[in-house]
Amino acid sequence: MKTALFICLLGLGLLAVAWAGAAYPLIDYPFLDEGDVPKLIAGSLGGAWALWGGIQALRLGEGKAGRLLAGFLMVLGLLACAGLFGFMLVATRMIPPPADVKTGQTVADFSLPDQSGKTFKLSDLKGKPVVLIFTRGFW
Amino acid sequence: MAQSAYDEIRKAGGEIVAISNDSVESLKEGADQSGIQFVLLSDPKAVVIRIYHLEHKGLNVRDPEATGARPAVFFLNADHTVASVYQPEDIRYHLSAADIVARFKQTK
Repeated sequence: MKTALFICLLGLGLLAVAWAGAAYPLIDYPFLDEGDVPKLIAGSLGGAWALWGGIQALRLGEGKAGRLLAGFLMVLGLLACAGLFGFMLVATRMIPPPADVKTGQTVADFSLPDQSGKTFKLSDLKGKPVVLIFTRGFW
Repeated sequence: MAQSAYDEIRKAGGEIVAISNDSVESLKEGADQSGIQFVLLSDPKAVVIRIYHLEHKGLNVRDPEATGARPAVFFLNADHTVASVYQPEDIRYHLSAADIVARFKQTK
């Protein structure tokens, strides 16, 4: 019973790590790339772990309190797992569709960090004509 | 190039904003070295670059994942509608400072 609860908690911990890893970069860059694979693996593993631990705890559980705790942890794990994948799915779809820039059209607003690390928003320059340069870099 | 156009554009009430895939650190270093005063924005994952349909994958032979922007210049009016677009087919082409000023003067 104790081992099973421990496994369940371990799974939840893994899920928490996956959540932190996934949520942090996605706030700035709402899409996934190859670097996010470990988070997906950690999330799946954490979910499976929490579920398995929960089932074991339920099976071996003694008394009402033990079963309640195991059930609670299991539901928590499932919610965290479902939430993680749901969040990632939503985040990947947050990229606006590519816009062809045509004369007369209003450009999409955006915000990015500038050379001093401050966040710059294009709409902060509303009312001023702007020369917007996209470059390969190497400044 | 753009820096020499900057004073004139500032005087006329405009701004220059440049976006590349450089990190904030390398932008800071580059700005310090070259004396660039206008806003340089860091878009290492090409989020905004992608929105504007300007992603250029495979720009670094040694790093197939490297992604950056194809050069393009948008001249925006005060209400941020597009006055004109400069997008060369050959990515080595750039607008001269004089061209930037001339096109800027046509914005409203």
